[in-house]
Amino acid sequence: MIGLRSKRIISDTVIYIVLTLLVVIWLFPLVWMILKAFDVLWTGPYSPTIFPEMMGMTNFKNLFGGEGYQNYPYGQWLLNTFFVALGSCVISTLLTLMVSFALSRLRFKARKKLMNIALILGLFPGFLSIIALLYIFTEFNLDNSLFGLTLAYSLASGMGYYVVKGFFDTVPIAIDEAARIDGATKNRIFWRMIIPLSKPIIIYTILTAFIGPWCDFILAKVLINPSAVENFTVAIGIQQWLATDDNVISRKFAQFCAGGTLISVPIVLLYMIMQKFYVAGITGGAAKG
Amino acid sequence: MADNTKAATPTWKLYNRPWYQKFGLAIWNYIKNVGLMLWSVIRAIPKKIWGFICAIGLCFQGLWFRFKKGDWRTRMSYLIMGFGCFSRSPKQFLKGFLLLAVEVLFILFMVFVGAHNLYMLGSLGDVGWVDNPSGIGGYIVDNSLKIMIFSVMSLMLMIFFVYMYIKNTEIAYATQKRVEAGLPLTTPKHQLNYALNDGYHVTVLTLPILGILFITVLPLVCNILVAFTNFDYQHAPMAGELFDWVGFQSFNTVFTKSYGDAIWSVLGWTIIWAVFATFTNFFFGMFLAMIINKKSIKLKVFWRTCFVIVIAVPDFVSLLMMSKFFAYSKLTTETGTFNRILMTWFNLDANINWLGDIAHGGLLPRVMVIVINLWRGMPFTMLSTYGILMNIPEELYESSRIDGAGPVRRFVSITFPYIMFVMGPQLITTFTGNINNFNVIFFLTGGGPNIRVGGIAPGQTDLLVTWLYKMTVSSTDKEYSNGAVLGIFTFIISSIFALIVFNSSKSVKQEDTFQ
Amino acid sequence: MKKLLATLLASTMALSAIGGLVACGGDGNGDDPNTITVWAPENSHGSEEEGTGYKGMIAGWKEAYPEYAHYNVRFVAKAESDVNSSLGNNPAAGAEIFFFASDHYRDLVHNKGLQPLTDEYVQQIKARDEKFTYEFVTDDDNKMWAFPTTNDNGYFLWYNDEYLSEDDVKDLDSLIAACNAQNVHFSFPYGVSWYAASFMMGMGCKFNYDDEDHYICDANTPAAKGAAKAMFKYANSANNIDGVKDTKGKKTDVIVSVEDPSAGLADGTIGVAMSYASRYTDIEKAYRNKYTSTATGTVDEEKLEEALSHLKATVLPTFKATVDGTTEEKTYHMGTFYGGKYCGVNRSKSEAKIVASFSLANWFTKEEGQKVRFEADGAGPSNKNAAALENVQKSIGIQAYKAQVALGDETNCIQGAQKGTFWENINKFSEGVFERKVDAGSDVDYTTEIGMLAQLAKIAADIGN
Repeated sequence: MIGLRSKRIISDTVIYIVLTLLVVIWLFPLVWMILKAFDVLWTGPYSPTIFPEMMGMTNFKNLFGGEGYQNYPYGQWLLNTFFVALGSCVISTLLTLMVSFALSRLRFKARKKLMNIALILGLFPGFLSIIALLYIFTEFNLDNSLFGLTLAYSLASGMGYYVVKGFFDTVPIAIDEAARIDGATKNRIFWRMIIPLSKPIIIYTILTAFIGPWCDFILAKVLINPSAVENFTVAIGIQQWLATDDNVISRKFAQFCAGGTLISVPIVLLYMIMQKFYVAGITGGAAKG
Repeated sequence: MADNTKAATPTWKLYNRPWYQKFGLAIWNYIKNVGLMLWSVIRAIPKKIWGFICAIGLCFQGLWFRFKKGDWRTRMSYLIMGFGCFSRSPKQFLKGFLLLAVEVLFILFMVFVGAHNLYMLGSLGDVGWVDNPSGIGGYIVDNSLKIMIFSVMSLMLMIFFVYMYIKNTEIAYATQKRVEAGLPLTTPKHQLNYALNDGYHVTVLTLPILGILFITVLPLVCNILVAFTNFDYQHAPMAGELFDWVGFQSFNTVFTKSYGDAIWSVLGWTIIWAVFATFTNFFFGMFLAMIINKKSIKLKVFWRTCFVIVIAVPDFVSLLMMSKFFAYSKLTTETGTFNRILMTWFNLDANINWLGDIAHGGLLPRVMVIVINLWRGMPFTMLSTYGILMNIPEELYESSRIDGAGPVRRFVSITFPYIMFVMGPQLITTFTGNINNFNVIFFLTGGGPNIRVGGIAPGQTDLLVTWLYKMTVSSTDKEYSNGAVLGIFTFIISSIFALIVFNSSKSVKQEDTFQ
Repeated sequence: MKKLLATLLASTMALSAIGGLVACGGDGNGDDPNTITVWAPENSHGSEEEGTGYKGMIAGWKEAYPEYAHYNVRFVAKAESDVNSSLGNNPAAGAEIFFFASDHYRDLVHNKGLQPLTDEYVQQIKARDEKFTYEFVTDDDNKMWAFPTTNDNGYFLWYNDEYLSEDDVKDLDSLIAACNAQNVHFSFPYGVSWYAASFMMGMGCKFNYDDEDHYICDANTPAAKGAAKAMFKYANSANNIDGVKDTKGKKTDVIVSVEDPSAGLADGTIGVAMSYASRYTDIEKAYRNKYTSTATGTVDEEKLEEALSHLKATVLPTFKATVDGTTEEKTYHMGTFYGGKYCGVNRSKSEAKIVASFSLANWFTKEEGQKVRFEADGAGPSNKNAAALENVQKSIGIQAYKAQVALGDETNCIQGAQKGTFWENINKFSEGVFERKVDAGSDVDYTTEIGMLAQLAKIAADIGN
C-alpha cells in the first residue's frame, strides 16, 4: 500500500518532468533564435546544420555600422522608436488619467452616453481606421513622420480608460468629500490627492504606453513610407530583412535574429517590471485610504 | 423530514438536476436573454428617433423664444456671437470673446476649406491630373480623397458650430435675465473657478475627446464613405485619377460577384480560429497554472518566469522567427529547422509543409497556426488563472476533501466554476480580440496557402482583417473600396459578439449556481 | 520639492521627446528641393570611395554637368520588383529616379510615375540600345517612357557538369533520367508564376497586353492545354521513377520547387536548376560558404575555383507534348519571359528636378554607366556596345540568356505588364499539378487530367477578367 507521502512524491516528480519538458519546448525556439543571431557563415534562413557552426559578433556589429548600414540603420531605428515611445507615453498617460478621472469621479449628464459610445467605437477593428488615418495624415502632411506616428499611437488613448478607472473607483470618496469641505476645486483634488495615491497604476500606465510603440507593427508599417528608411521603427525595419526578394542565401535572417534579440532584452525586463506594478496597483490600492 | 423540505422548495431546483439538464437550461436562458435584449434594442429605436426629432424641435422653439423675449443686445448676438456678453460688462469680456472667436474661426474655415470641398462632394472632383505647359511634370487639381475628408471635417465642425450657436443664445439670454434681476454678473475669476470645479468635466475631457475624434472617428467615417465609392488602384486620387460614388457596387462585388462565397468561408474560419485560439489557450494555461500552484512544487517563480519570457518577446520577433522555424522546402537539406530536427534528432521520415500544405483546403496550416498561437499566448492565461487560483480559499478544498471528494470532483465543483466566474468576461473579450488578431496570422503564414482563385482572393488561413490588409496595403492592384466594405462587415460581426459579451457579463453576475 | 522634481522630470521628458522627433524623423512629404533620391537594387550601389557602382558615378556626373552639382544624390536600396508597390498610388512621395522591371511599365505610366523622355534622349537611346528594349517602352504616340538599363531578365538552365553532361540537359526526359541516376534534384520553381508558365510559353502561348490594350492570356488555348497535359505527365512520371534518395535512403521527388537554388547547387543536392543570370552572385556566395573552414574562417580558393568551373549554363530543355485536339506529339522548347530593367524618372516631381533627373538617369544608363553596373553586380547590359565587352562575353549566365532569347518569339514571351491575377494564379495551378495535394473529387481537383483541365479553365477565366 503506497503511503500518502510517497504518492505525493510520485505525483510531484511527474509534475516536475512535465514542467521541464514544457519549458524546454517553450523556450527552445527562442534559444535557437539567439544562437542563430551569432551565425556568421549562413546568414539566410537556410543553413546546413541546425545550430550555427561558426559563431561571431558580425551580425550584431552590422546592426550599428558596417556595409549596407545606410540602407538599414538599426541604430537610427532604435532612436526613432525610443523617441516615439517617449512622446507617446507622456501624451497617453495624461489623456488616460484625465478621462479615467472624469468618468470615475465626476458626475455629469453625458457620462453614461460617453461610456457607451467609447464601447461601440472600440468595436471597430482598429485596422479599419489605420488605413483611413493614412489618408487623413497625408492631407495634413503628417504621414511618413515620426511625430505623426506618435500622435497616432497616443491621441486616441482616452478610449483605454478601463483599468485606471477601475482603480480610481476603489479609492474612497471620503477623501474627495473631505477635500471639498476644505474648499478644494476638483482640479486640485485630481492633481494633489488622487494622483499621488495612484502611483502603482500610473507607473503601470506609463510602462504600457512606453512598451506599445516598440511592439507595434501595423500602424508603423502603414504610416511610414516604405522607402524612408531613416524614419522606420525597429519593428518594420527588421521585418524588412525577411521580406526582401527571393534570395534565400542573401536574406538577412541572422541579422534579423540579432536585431530581434537585442530589442527583446529591454522589453522583457520592462514587461516584468510592469507586471509587478500592475499587481501592486490591483492589490495594494484598495487598502490605502 | 426529507419530504417536508422537498415540498417546500420549488421543483426545478438546479443543483439537484443532472449536469446535461443544467447545461441545456443555461444555454436556453442565454439564448432567451440575447433575443430579449436584441428585441428591446430594436423596439427602442423608433422611440429614440422620435426623441431626437423632438429635441431638434425644442431647439428651434428655444431659439425663437429667446429672440422674441430678448433685448437688442441679445438679438445682436444672433448675428455676432458673444455680443450679449461683452457688450454688457467688461467682466464678461472673456466669455464673449471666446464665443466670437469660435464664430470667426468657423467662418474662416468654411471660406477657405469647407465650402469648396462640400461643393465638390457630389461629384468628388472634376479634373485630376494636369500637365505642365512645358510637358515636363504636372500637378493635381482635384483630389477626391481630400474632398471627402475635408467635407466630413466640415460637417463635424458645422455640428459643433450649431451647438455653440445655440449655447451662445442661451448664454446671452441668461445674462440678460441676470441683469434685469439685478444680480451681479460673474467675474473672470468665477468663470475660471467654474472651469476647474463644477465644469471640470468639460475642461478635462476636451483634449481627449478631440484626440479621439481626430484619430478614431474621422478615419472611421471616411472609411465607411469609401465603401460607397469605387476607390481602387485604377481610381487613385494621388496618382491623378478621381473616384466617384457608386452606391452599393462594392458591396455587390465583395459579397457576390467577384468573390463569391469567399467571404463566408473566411468568416467561418475566423470564428473557428477565435474559438480554438481562445479556448486552447485558456485550458492549457489553466492546467499549467494548476500544476505550478500545487503546494508541494518548489521554484514557482522560476517556472512562471520561463513562460512569461515567451510573451514578453515582441510579437513580430517571435512570430516571424517561428514562420522561418517551420519553413519548408521539398529539398530535404534546405528545409526548415523544425523539419530537420524531426529528421535528424528523432529519426522521423517527415518533411512536412507545416505552414503551407494545401491538402484538405489547407488544414495543416490552420492547425499549426492555432498551435503556435498556443505557444505564444498560453502564458497570458496561465498568469491570470494563477492569480485567481491563489485567491481560492483553502477551506473549500479542506471541507470537500473531508466530504470525500476526489481531485476531479474538486476541480469540477470548486476550481473550475470559480475561475470561470472571474475569467468569464475576460475570456469573451479575448475571443472578440482574436477575431481581429492580425499579428499571428500575418507573420506566420501571411494569409496561408493560396488555393482560391479570383481577384485578391483570400488564402486558407486568412482572417477578415488579414484579407482586408491584403486588399488595401499589400497587393499591387489595391482595392480600397472593397476593403472598406470588408471593414464594415468585420465591424458588424465584432459588434454582434460584443453585444453578446455585454449581455453575458450581466447574466453571469446574476448566476449563483455555484455555492 | 518632490513635486517640483516630478514636474521637472515630466517636462524634460516631453521636451526631449518632441525634440527627438523633430530632429530624428524626416519631414512628412516635404520634398527637399535639393535632394535627388535614387531607388536601385542594393548590389548595384557600389561605393563612392572606391568608385564602383552607381554611387561611384555621381562624381563624374557632377563634373560633366556643373549646373547640377548642388544636388545631393541619395541612394535607397530597393529591388526592382518592389518599385511598383512602393510608388503605388502616391508617386509624389517616391524617388525621383528608380530602376524597375519591365512588367510594371504600364502601371507606372498609369499612376503618373513615369515622365516621357524628351526628344534628345530618345535619339540617344535609339542609337545605342538593343532594339526590343526601347521599343518595349515606346507607346503608339512614339513617346518613350524610360531608359533601358539591363537586358538579362529571363531564365535558363544552370547545371553542374560533375553530375550531368551537356547532352543530358538538352531534353527534359533525359534530364530527369540523369538526375535520377546521379541522385540529384532538378529545381523547377513551379511555385513561382514566372517560371511556372514556361511550358505554356514554349508551346507558343502569349501573356501580354497587345497594341490595342487588350490583355491576352493564352492559358486556355489548345496549346496551353497541351502544355498542361505535358506538365501533368512529367509531374507524374518524374516522381514515380526511382526518385532521388535523400540521406536516409528515402525516395523524394526529383523535381523540387526551390526559389534560390544556390545552396543546393553548392552542396550537390541540386544538379540542375532553372534560374536567371544574376543568380550567379548568390551561387558563388553559397560555394564560398561551403569552402570556408568553420574553424579559421578562411576560404580555400583553389577548391572554390575548381568547383565553380563545373558550373555551366545553357538553354532550357525540350519537352514532348501534343496540342490539345491533335494527335501528333511534337517536341517543344521550354520558354522564358524575357526583358530588361529600366530606369524611370518620376513624373510627379517638380520640373527642375525632372530635368536634372533625366540627366542623371541618362548618365546611369549610357554605355559607360552600363559597364560600371555590370562590374558591380553582373547585370547584362542593354547597350549594344557594352554587351560586346569581353567581360560580358565571359559571363556564362548572360550568354545562356541570350541564347535562350535567340530561340525566338515562338518559344519565349516578352515580359510585359500582366494583370495581378496572372501572377497570383498561375503558380496555384502549377503547384496543384506538381504537388497533387488537393482532394480528389472536390472543387479543386488536380488528381485527374480532367479535373486539372477544369482548374486551368477556371484560372484562365479569372485572369481574363
